[in-house]
Parts: sequence; structure tokens; C-alpha cells
Amino acid sequence: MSNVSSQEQVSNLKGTITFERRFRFWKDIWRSRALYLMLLPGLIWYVIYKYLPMYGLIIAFKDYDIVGGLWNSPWSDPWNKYFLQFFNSPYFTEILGNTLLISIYKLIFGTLPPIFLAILFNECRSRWLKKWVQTISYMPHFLSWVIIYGIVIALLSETSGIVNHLLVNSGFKSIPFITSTDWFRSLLVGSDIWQNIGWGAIIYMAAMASIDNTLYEACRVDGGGRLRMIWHITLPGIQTTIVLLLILKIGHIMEGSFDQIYIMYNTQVYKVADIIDTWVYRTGLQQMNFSLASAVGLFKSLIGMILILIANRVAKIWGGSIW
Amino acid sequence: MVRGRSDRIFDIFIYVVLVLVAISAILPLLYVLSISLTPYSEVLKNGGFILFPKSITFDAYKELFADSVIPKAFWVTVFVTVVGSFINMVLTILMAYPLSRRKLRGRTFFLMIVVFTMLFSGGLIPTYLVVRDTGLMNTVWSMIVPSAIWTFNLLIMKSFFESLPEELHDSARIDGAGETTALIKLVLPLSIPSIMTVSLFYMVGHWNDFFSAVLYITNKELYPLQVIVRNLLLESSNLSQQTDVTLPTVTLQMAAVISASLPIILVYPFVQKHFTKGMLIGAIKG
Amino acid sequence: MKKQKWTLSALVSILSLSLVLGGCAQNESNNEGTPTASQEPTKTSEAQAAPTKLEITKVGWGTKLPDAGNDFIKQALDEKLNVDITLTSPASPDDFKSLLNTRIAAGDYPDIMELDSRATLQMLAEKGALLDLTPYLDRLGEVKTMVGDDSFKKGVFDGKTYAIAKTQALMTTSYYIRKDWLEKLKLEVPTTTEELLKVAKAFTEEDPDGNGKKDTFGISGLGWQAFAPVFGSLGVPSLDMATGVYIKDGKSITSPQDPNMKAALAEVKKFFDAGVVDPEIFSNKGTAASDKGIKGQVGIVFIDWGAFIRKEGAENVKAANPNAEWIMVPTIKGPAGQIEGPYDVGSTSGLIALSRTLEKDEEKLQKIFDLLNYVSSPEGSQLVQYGIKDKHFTTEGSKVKISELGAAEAGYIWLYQLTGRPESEYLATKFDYAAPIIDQASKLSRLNLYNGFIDLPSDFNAADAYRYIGDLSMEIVYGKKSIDSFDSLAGDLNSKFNYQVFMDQASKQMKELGFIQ
Repeated sequence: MSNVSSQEQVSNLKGTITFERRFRFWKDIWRSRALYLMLLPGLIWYVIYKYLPMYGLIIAFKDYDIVGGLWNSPWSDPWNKYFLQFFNSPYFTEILGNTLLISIYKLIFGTLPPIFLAILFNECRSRWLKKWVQTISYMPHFLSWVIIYGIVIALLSETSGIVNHLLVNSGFKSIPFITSTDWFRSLLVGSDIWQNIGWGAIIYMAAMASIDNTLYEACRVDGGGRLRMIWHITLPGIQTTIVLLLILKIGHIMEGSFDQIYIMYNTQVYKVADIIDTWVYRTGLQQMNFSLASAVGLFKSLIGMILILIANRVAKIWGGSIW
Repeated sequence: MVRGRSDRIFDIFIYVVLVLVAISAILPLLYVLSISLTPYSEVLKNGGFILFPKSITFDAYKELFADSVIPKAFWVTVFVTVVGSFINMVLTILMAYPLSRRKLRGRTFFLMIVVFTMLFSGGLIPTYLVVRDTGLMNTVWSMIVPSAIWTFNLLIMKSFFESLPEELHDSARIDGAGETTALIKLVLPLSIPSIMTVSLFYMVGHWNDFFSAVLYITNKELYPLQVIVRNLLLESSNLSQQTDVTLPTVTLQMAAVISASLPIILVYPFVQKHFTKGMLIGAIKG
Repeated sequence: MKKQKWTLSALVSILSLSLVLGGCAQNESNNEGTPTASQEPTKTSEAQAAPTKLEITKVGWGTKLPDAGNDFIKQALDEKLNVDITLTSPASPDDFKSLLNTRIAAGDYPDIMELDSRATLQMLAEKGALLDLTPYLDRLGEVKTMVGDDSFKKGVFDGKTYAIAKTQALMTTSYYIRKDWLEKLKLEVPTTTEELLKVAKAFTEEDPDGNGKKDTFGISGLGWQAFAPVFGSLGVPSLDMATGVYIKDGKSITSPQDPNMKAALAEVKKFFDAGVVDPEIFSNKGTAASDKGIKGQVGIVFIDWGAFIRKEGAENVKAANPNAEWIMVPTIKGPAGQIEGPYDVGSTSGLIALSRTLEKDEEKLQKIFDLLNYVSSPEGSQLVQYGIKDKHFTTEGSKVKISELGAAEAGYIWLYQLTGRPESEYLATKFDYAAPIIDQASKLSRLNLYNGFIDLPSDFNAADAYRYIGDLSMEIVYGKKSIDSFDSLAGDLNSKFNYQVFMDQASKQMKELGFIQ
């Protein structure tokens, strides 16, 4: 076959290849039919409960009429009216900047502590200590932000907080943690780390539990120290988990954390703490302007999707990419 | 084995850090617990801060459990948590396993479909309509079925399945086992830590969920615990108009927080048992 | 292979089973009688028709409603009117709006809705979700007697009455001051702005609690509201109503336009300059301000009467410090007036609106009118205010006495006060020990604002404008900007925030409602 070179035969050959490809494609699918069947219930669920309601996105382009419903609401004029309302706010750049900054701070300072804690748990030789500290460090996750804010006030309030009490008694000046634009973001990031360090460590612990023990044995035989084992075995073992979580966090960078900020902020720190979601809440939802909320949501989602696509592409270098 | 000096120092370092973490987590919790056990006037006398109560009273807890509302809500929450998490896990595993197989055709497409829903959603109203039209309104299932899969957890599960060695599947194929058998006989036993973790995430999620109940449940018999606790915790600043409404005291609020989170906190020790370093693969290969 | 298929189908059938179960369970609970379920004859006596099911939705503010078996008000109303009431009370206005929004969009209208604000009414009425009550007003006789004509005005939108405003709650905020501190420092109750500043200074600097530390402050409260009487002494509303609409010289004016605003802010700034203000005044939330008062950290608090005078509050004050004594400060005088603070006459405690789907259900509509009239009638009103007669309260002539059981059990029943209550009489009965103070506080002179009547134009972003005014004013009082930067405020609002539209809307509606010529 290889020594014949007329065009006809080449095209014949191409035909055979496409046919074979197609054949292999269907054969592959038939061979993995069990896998597709497993996928089916989940996919059906996604279609019903996630994709059927997706038409709700059009409300971003409509003057929402609560009675007429989504379909009968008139199109907004101009079509991007609610996007413009957001972009044209004098505070647009500020809230966008705040949203990104707070998320990025949380990403930078919030990612490492749980990993660090998980490694310490993994290396801890006292089972008793390990068990107790794990359970205790995971408990703050169950406190809602209202309660955490109460604790923050009890600790850090300028007038009645324990910390400022101690500072003043030892001759220092009190620090306005809650009302100062210099401190507020640190407060947000700090309380977030406090709430989530133990909770965040769980997933890394699970990842470490599936690292092949023989790797450690081999390293020990080679005379490797514990730090070396952490560096060469433990960390690579949880690398894909770290990367996956990072991608997902990057995708949600525009989200901010409404619950936390809404409960903790005050008019004095708007300049550093007002994020997209709190602005939408004050502007739109209190007046039941759902179109605005939806338009801003769509904008955030688009940016998030782009960021995920980029992050996933980059992540392929290290492994742990989503697809 | 002889432990070196640096090894010792490392151990001490670990102990010190862990103890510090524990203290920083427990002091505020102790504060919550103490307030729930102290009369409010006592709290105020101490400037609002108490770590170790001088006089203990269980009044707040008595008040909380005075009628049948909270115990009833507790059982609703338990049902939703247990049954909901079971359904979550079945669906999540069934979906995560095929998606973890790199050779699966259309894998990227399916993953894109799934990830897309993490960022884009149709919003409250269309979701409400679907929940209603699938006949879930005013049933416990409205708190279970619409959240049957959490994409985040699905991706975690998928990632854990991916981290299993590829040879596993080869050996399964050589043994002539089908995919279902491979999943049940080989993959699942090796994935106990991740299954426990994802189950925990689901359980905690169901336990803390209140919003679906606010939207989909009007029958008060079916209110879960968090709806009731949240009602107690609402910021009361807007209440000045209703001068005769008796506000829940801080003591009662804290008692509610403790009662509502203790049961789910107690689940964790059962999960963490399975986090022993490298236990599983070693055992199976051995 | 066979085995594999079997397992698979088992998994699939488990899944479908769970879905089917979902469906079944739904049917069951429907039969048990949920509000949306169709009306089925129940086991009442044959002579009587089946009770009409009514669903009421309102913000519950976290009030714990007992289950139907223990809800004596529901039972009493059900029996009296042959209805079956379901009360859905989401805890917060946000939850309430989510619920209302989804339910209406889906066509599952609650029968009676107690709307939390004019904005909600505006949105629902505009889109035709509400029943136009205009033709039915003469069937709401008792309600009218109870709430008064003005309350019907608040529910007017586009010339039609869509809602009935509940009776208005009393405005009782004012300054409270530590009497024992005044005595210790040999000071008098302040009567002017200057004296207020002097006392606040003394409370901050002269160690009123005698602990040898400089750990007390002069004034606290919730944000700008804490200076309402100082603003009032210059005839302007405090800045927590940043775009307050009021009448000045026969014309409608909004607070940023008022030339006295700058002078008032300069007056307030004196307090900040003197360092007598709670440093967390703008971050105090909930009960933070009154808690500071109770803990003895501050000597003057602008707050509702309940904080220190109501039994629970007074007990806390005494528990923290047996010598502490709080008294009310009558309105202070200033160069341009003596006003305790702004009062939005258009605001309501709630707007009762009905679903437009009731239009075709004359029978149900009649039941609703019966219910509203009943809770407004002397008998029904007593029921929803105090509980069951001779059980939760007793009467001696026209005076009501609340029994111990009433005090213990009736904490939730305000939820059923659909049309409100005779406010002063109610408070005087319920809090007889505080009656003189409540009376005094409610009679203090206030500046009438009309914001509750004004619909926000869609091309004006009120939240942004509020923030701009708030930020600027805060920078001024904290000395980051000079007081003269306030001069450009009105212009900036127009150029950056489209403020003119709001002012036009305000004067237009004020004219329409006949408040100005």
C-alpha cells in the first residue's frame, strides 16, 4: 500500500482512517458504557436542577416584572442598562479593587496555614495531642459570622476589648482594629484564617492519608530526615489537591465573602471593605432590584470563568488541573 | 531507631505550634460556652467578657428546650443530614469515578458542564419553579434533592480518584473485572479517607443549611434546626419599633449556638480516625 | 459481565427510587394540610362549612411561634371566624423578600402580606401583584377606626389604595444620662448644646466612676443618630437620614440643600474635637451602645426608652452597678430650635396588602376582611394584644391587667396584631412602671420627614448618594477634611449622583399628597 502514490488512493486511505477513527470512537464509547451509565444519574440531575433554571440569567437584560415572570418581563432599554448602572457608579473602581484585594489577601495568606497545620498533624508523634488539636481546631468553622463578630468585639473593641485593655494597661496606645481603615482588612483576613484553618486542613490530611507509605520507607532507608521527607514526599503527594483548591479559589475571586463583611463592616471602613456584593445588597436587593443583582452576578461569573480557564491552563504544568 | 537531636527539636516545635493553635481556637469557644452558662447580668458586670463562669446556670438551655420546637427541628436536621449525605455520596461517587478516568471520551466536555454551574446559576426564581414542579415543595426532600451534588465536592472526589495509581485499573482489566466491580472492589476501599472527608463536607453542609428551608418549607413541623437558631441570632438593631418584643438574650443565643453545633462537631473524631499516614495503600500492597 | 449489569441497574434503581420516594412524601404531606394544598373537608361538624385557609406572611424578627397546638391566638381566631390561619414569618426582611419574590414569581401568592417598606409596596403594586383595595374600603370599617385615615394614605400608589398601614409605633428615642455621675461631679442636666458638651467633657475627663482611670466617654449611640438633638437644635435632621425630605418655609427641601446643615455639622464636630465621643460610635450595632452604658463606659446615650428603663434593661443596669441611675434628658435648646430628632411620618410598622388573586374569590376575601376587622375591633384587638381574657389578662373597668401567665406565654402574639394596636395605651398597660417616661419621650418635638411617601426614581442610586454624604461628613468631623468642603456637597450630588431627579420626585409627590402647595 505504501508504494502506491496516486491521489485517489490517498483519499481512499484518508477515508479508511476517518472510518477507522469513527469506528474506534464508537468502540471506545461502547467499551466504557458502564462508565457513561454511571455518569447518567448525575448528568440528569445537573440538567434538571442546574441547567433548566439557567434561563434565569436573562433577567440581567430585562426590567424584571415580578408578576409577569421572567419570560414576560420587557427587555431593558438599552440592553445593558443594569450593567451600566454598576459600571457608572462613582464607587465602581473602589468596590472592584476592594473585592479583588480582599480575595487575593485571603488567597495568599489563607492558603498556606491549613497546609502547614496538616503537615504538623501528619508529623505529630503524639496521637493523643493530634486527635484533640484536630477536633478543637475544626470547631470554629461552626460559628456563624454573627458569633465571630461578637468574639472579635470582645477581644478587639477599642473601648471594651481585652486586647486593647491589656495594651492600655501596659502603657501603649489603644488600636482601633474595627474602625480603622488600616486594620480592617487584616481583621477580615485574620478572622477568616482563624475560622478556617482547622477545617481547611482536613482535605490535606485526607490527601496525605493516600500517600504510598513505601515512599517514606524508601526515603528513610536512604537516610532522609523528616524535613526532606516533607519536601520530597508529603508536599508532592498533596500537590494536586493544593492546585485544585487554588484554581477553584481563583475562580471565586470576585465573590468576596458577603456574610463576613456585611456583618463586620461599618460606615467608617467602607473605603477598604465595601465589596461588590455589599454594594449590590445596599443598592439593589433592599429595593428589590433583581435585575441589577443578576447583571452584576453575570459579570462576576464571566470574570470567574475566564480566570478558571486561565488557571486551569497554567495548572496543567504542575498537575491538578480540573480537565 | 535512634532519633537525632534535630528530630527532637522538630517534635517540640510541632507540639508547641499545635498547642498554640488549640489555645487560639478554644479560648473564644470557651467564651461562647461560658456566656451560655452565665446569667446575663453577671456577664455585663464583668465587662462582657467571661472565660470561666463563677456561677453556672442552665436556664438558657432549659428555655431553649422548653417546648417541642427544637427537638422536632433536631430530628428534621438529622434526617436531612443522614439521608441527604447518603444520596450525595452515591451520586457524587458515581459521577466522580468516570470523570477521573482520563481515557473517557468527552471527559473535558462533561467537566466543563459541571464547572460552569459553579460560576453561573439561574438564580432563585427559576430554581424555585423547578423545585416546585418536581413536587418537592414543603417536603424534607426540598432540602435534599436540589443540593444532591455539590460541584466542589464532586471535583475533590474526582481528584482523589485520579491520584490512585493508574496500574490499579490495568490490574483490574487483566483480572477481567468490569468498571463497576473495579469501582466497588478496588477503588472504594482505597479511597476511605477521601470518602470520609467528602461525606463530612456534605454532612456539615446539610447541617448548616437554612436557606432552602426558608424558601421551600412553609410547614413549621419541617423546619430544620438552623432556621430556628438563626432566628435567635438575628441582629436586633431593627427591632426598636417593636418595643415589646422580648429579645433573646446573649446567654440564650450562645446556648443555641452550642446546642446546634455540638452534635455535628462530635462527628469529626469518627472521620479523623481514617487519616492515618499512608495506611491504606501500604496495607493493600502488602 | 452479567454481574456488572446487575449492580449498575441496582444503582440506577436506587436513584430513581429516591426520586419516587420524594414524590410520594410530597403527596403525603400535602394530605396533612399544608397551606398550598387544596381544601379538603375536615372533621368539623357537618353544619359548619370547612374553615377557609388563610396564609399570612410577614417579617417575624426571630420571634418564636409555638406550634399550632400551642398557638392559642391562632386557635381563638380560627374558631371565632371559621378560618385556618397559617402564619409564615421569615426572620429577617431579607429572608422575607426572597420568599415573597419567589412565591409571587411562581404564582403562589400568600393571601395577606405585611410588607416591610414602601419600596416593596411600590414594586409589587407597580407590577399588579396586589389587590386594589379602593372598592372595598367601606367594608373595612373597624380597620379604619383603628388605624385612622392617614394610614390609608400611606398605602396609596398611583392614586389607588393598595395597602393599609398599621398603626404607627411611637418614636421614643432621646438622650439618657447617668444621674449619679452628674451628682458626683456636681453638674446639672444639660439644657443647651454648650452644656451638653461641657457635661460630656466632664464625663470623659473627670473620672465620674471614681476608679482613678480615664476610661469613660461622654456620648454614645448608633452613628449620627447619637447627635440627633444637636442637629435638631439647628433645625435639620441628623445625618443617619442623609437625604431626609422635609418642609421648610412652605417648600419641600432635602437635608443636603439646607444651609443650616453645615452649621449643625460644625456643632457636632466640636464633640469629636473634644474627644468625648465613643470612638466606635459609627460601628456600634444592635445593643452595643446601650451595653456600653450598662457597663459604665459612657454617661450619655441616645437610645430608645427600653434600653435602660424597661425591666430587663433596668435589671442589667443594677446588676452591673447598683448605684447607677439613668434618667431621660429633655430636648436640648439650640440657636435654631429644640428638636429631639427626625421622625419619618411616612414610615410604617408594616403595610398590610392582599394578593390580587383574591379578586375572584369573594368568599375568601370576605373572610380576610372579617379577620382584619376583628383584630381591629375592641374585642379582637385585646385578644392579639394581651391574649385570652381571664387567662392571660383581666379587666377592671377599662383598665387591663396582664396576668403572670400572660407575661410568660404571650411573647409571640404581637405577630397577630395585623392592623397594629393603640400604641400608647398598649405600652402603658404592658409597661405600667414606665408609662410616664414613655409618654414624655413620645411627646418630644420631632422634625417631620416625608421619605416614607417618596418613591425612589430608578435612575437615582440612593445607596451611593448616602455613602457619599456619610463619608464626607465623617471625614469632616474627624478632621480629615475642612468643614468648608461641605459647601460643594449639593453640587457634587447633582453632578455625580443625579440628585436632582430625587429632589424633583420629592417635591412632585409632596404636592400630589397635599403636604405642600
